[in-house]
Order: sequence, then C-alpha cells, then structure tokens
Amino acid sequence: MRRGGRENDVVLSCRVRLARNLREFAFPHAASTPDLLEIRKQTVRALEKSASQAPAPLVFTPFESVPLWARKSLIDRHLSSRPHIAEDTGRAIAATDDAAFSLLVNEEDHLRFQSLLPGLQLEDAWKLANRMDDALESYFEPRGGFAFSAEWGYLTACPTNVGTGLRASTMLHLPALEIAGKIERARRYVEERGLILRGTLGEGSNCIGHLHQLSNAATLGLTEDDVLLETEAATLELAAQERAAREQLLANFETPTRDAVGRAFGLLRYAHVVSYEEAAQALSMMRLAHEMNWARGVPRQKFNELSVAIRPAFLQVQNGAPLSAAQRDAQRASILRVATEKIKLDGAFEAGL
Amino acid sequence: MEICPCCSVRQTNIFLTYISEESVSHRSLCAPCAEIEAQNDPILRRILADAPHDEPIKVVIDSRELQGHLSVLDDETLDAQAFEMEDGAIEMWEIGADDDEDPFADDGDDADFSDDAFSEAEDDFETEAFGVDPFENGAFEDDFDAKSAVFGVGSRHLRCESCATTWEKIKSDGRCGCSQCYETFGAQLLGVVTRCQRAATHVGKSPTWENKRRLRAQSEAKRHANRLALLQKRLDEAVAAEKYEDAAQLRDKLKSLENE
Repeated sequence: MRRGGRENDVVLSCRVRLARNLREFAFPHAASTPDLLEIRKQTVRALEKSASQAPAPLVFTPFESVPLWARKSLIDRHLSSRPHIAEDTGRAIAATDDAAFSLLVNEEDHLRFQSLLPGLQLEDAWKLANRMDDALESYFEPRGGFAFSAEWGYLTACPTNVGTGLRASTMLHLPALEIAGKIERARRYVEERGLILRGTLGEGSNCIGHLHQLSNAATLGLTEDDVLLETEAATLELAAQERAAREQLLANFETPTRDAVGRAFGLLRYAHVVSYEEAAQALSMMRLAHEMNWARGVPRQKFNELSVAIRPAFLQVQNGAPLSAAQRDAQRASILRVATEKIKLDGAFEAGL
Repeated sequence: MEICPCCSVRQTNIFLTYISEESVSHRSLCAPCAEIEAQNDPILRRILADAPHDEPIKVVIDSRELQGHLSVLDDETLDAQAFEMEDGAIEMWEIGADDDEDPFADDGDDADFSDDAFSEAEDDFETEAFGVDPFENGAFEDDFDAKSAVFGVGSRHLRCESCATTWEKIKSDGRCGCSQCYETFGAQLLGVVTRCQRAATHVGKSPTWENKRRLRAQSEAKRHANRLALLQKRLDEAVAAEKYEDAAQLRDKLKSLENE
C-alpha cells in the first residue's frame, strides 16, 4: 500500500480557518447594508496593504458580480458555506488561484481567514492563515481593531467559535472503515478527544464518496497549538485505523472488493449519464483501488481534482452557463470517461480468480 | 450542620446567598473560611465586620445593588436552612441546567430556571429570617422587571445597548448580534460556553495591542512592587533607628501606595 509522506493515502486535504470581527460593526447577520459594504471596502484596502504577505496574488470577488448558480461552486471547492453564498450584498471572497489562502468577507463573521492545503500539513496551513491575520490586524488596529476581550478571546457571532476562532480540519477518505461498519466507532473515538467527524461538505452535510471531515469542537480554553496537535493526532489515528481496515478488506473480502472496484471502473469508463452521488461513490472505489495498487495510470491528485470537477455547480462554472440536470449528468460522464482513459487495472481483473 | 467545603474541618455557620442579574447561588462556610473569602469581597467584608461572632448567620449578597443583608438564624430556621442547602439548591438557575446537547435548544420553558427553583427561591428570599419582604421595602418599587431579575427572568428582557439584540433572539439564532453582546450577556453566554467549549477563559493568541497592554501591566506591577519593597525597607530602617516621625510618614505613604 502506498503511503505519502503526508498521509495522503487517506488525508485528502487539510484546512485552517480563523474567525475575526471588526469591533466597530455588528456581526454580519445583524449589520446594516451600509455597514456590510463599509466592512468590505475596508477589507479590500487592508488586503491591498497586506499584499506582500499573501502567498500568491489574491483575486477579490464581490458576490454581486457572480450569479448564485456560479457562487455555488465555492461550496463544491470547500471554500464557502450555503448561508454565505445565499446572500450577495457586501459579501465577497478573496482567494489565491490554488485556494491555498482565501478570505471570506461577511460570512457568519466579518472575516474568515482560510488556508486549504493538500494532505496533512495543518502546521503550514496555520502559519499561512496566521500570517494574513497578523497583516490585517495591523491594518485594522488603528481603525477600531478586531473584536477581542482578554477573557473571551476573539469575539465571534457564534459562541462556538469564540476564543481562538480557530477551526482545524482534515478531509479523510475512509472507505474501508465505512464498508467494515466502523465509522460510528471512529466517531466516538474522536468525540472523546474533543473533535467532530462530519459529512463531506462540513456541518450538517451527508457523507458522499466515503469522504469525512474531521475537526476540533472547542475554540475556547485551549491554545492554537493544542487545537492543531489534537486534530493532527486524531487524524493520524483515523488514518492508521483506515489502513488496518484496508488490510482486513484485502485479507478477508478481496473478491467482493474487486467486484465493487470493477463495477466502479466500468461506470466511470463507459457510462454516458452519471449522477453526482453515483460518480462520487465510483471515484471513491477507484481511489481505493489506486491505494491498493490494483489500478495504475492516474496519479492520486487526479482523484482529488475529479471529486470537485464532478460537482454540479463546478460543472456549470466550467461550462460558463447553467446546465440542466440531464446536461450535467452527460457532461459529468464525459469528463469521467476521458479522465479514466489511462487507468489500467491489474491482471486479476482481466483473468478472473 | 455540615462540614465547611473550604477547610473540610470546621462546621459551617455562615450561610451565603449570592444574587446577581441572572442567578442566585448558595454556599455555606465556617467563620474563618468566610473571613478569608471576605478578603476578596468588599460587600462580605463589610457585613462580617458587623456580624456577631460564634452565631450562625445568613448573608444575602446582592451584586446588582452592591449591597448585602445580614440576619442571625435561630435554631429552627437554621435546621431549615441546612436542609435547603443539602437539597442541592446550589446550581439553581445556572443557565443551561438542562442536559440537552444543543447549547441553544429551547425546551419550551424558561431555560433559566425551573418552576421548582423559582418557588424555592421565592420562599428562600421572603423567608421570615429577613423580617422584611425585599419587594415591599422600596428597593424595587413596583418595578416588575427588577423583581423578575432576582429570579433570573430578567435575562429575557435584557437587551444589548449596542445592537438591541435580546437574549431570546441569541438563543433562537445561536448567534450574538455584536461584540458588545459578550459583555451584556456575559453570564448567560458563560452557561452556553461551559457546555460547548473546553474552558471559559481564552488562552490562545491575542492581538498586538493586547500583548502590549499585558506587558505594560506587568512592568507596572513590577514597578509597584519595587516601590513597596523600597518603602518597607526604609520604614524598617527608620524604626530600627527610632526615627518615629519619619516612620509614621513612611507608613502613611506605604499605606496609600498599597491602596493604589
């Protein structure tokens, strides 16, 4: 079984998010339209002044300039939330091309610094978000500053974010644990350690394609280092459990697993109409086959890209115009046929056992 | 009578009731431990100074009014008091006494207190031990909200001065309206936070201005301690040299500096 240096046989990506608010303004859901616009205006200036600290040039997108159907792709790319994209007035996102850094404006909090990196590298993600936090803080300090109290820490709209305002999370691919019915046990394991295992798109979402989001629960009463270390430790443990479950799958259930992989490959390679969930499930099995050395020809990173590329809103953005559900399913199938063209399954799939 | 929870040695004979904007809590202590407690509590200090020694007393400290009441308990009320304390009245209206996982879940009744707690408190507050009904002595003259506030209902009517958000709204939204809400609803939010967070105090990163403020406070405290030590040394020298006039001056200086 292949193991990347940063656990990326199980850990797809990691993310650090910092919530900050400007002291002078009510939180976004309670702020007036002029205030929301003013907050955004000041943020644009702050970003201009802090450009040297950004890892790459930031593209600033006010939501009024993007239609709702296209804004939905921000959810597909794990960059924003439903409540954020549902509004447009005063809302915005600034992001680097690779989304390694992004800043949400007037989401639940005035500012949300995010760093999204592949594999497990929470420490680097934290450094990136923290650096931008410092840069913007020094801009805002003479202009009212961030809302902070010595007792509560950084003040946020929701008390579940107050304190550090830090949410560290990892996206985990856990097909073997799910097939073995061990997800509930994993969930209890992380909850005992003060973390939460959520669905694919975060809070309140379902799990699709065996992708689970692990994140810290508490933001107050522990330091940033505590959060990062605890999240990393739980991630490593779940990754180890998943690997053990994959070994067991291989040892005890090779035939049904090969059957599932073979069917998934058939679907991805030859289908002409594929729904999102069907595609995500099949991609998950192909990724598993890749990690078990049953499939060659496509690098791991390609699976990450595909899991976003097949999302409904992302398809439409690539298309440049809205698509009907039937058009999307056809478009998705076409993308998948091309992407899996180079995949070669091992001999056992051809000869039969 | 029970054993003092503070020293675990002596029997309790001081029964304390603390009333704040949104909660009422009880403690019982022995007299020496109460004295220690009083060092950090000016209201309690003032009351204990007037209290008869070696007699069980009941003290009600009202932090909203910055005042307290004292009453001496006879044996009969003392038994009743002890019974009440054992009954676990201590957590009476802590916000979120319900065990629901969702910190904002509204279970239909007033989350701040149960009916039982309410009637118990009313009995407690209007007990004959006071001799007066606090609601008829003019302190809360026909002010229904003030009366409610004693029993925790006040938080329902509490409104953030900055953004006009009410506690009811925060509970239903799960969100505060502005940063000022954390001051306005500090006590209520503490109840929420103790259930969904690791601890109630921030220990992580701070903005630069806060770090600077802390450094300044630290160096100020150090300077203060140095000046105290210096004065004390000069005072000791003056006493040793029998320069009593100087010593008196130094002592006054020291006292005023200590009070800073």
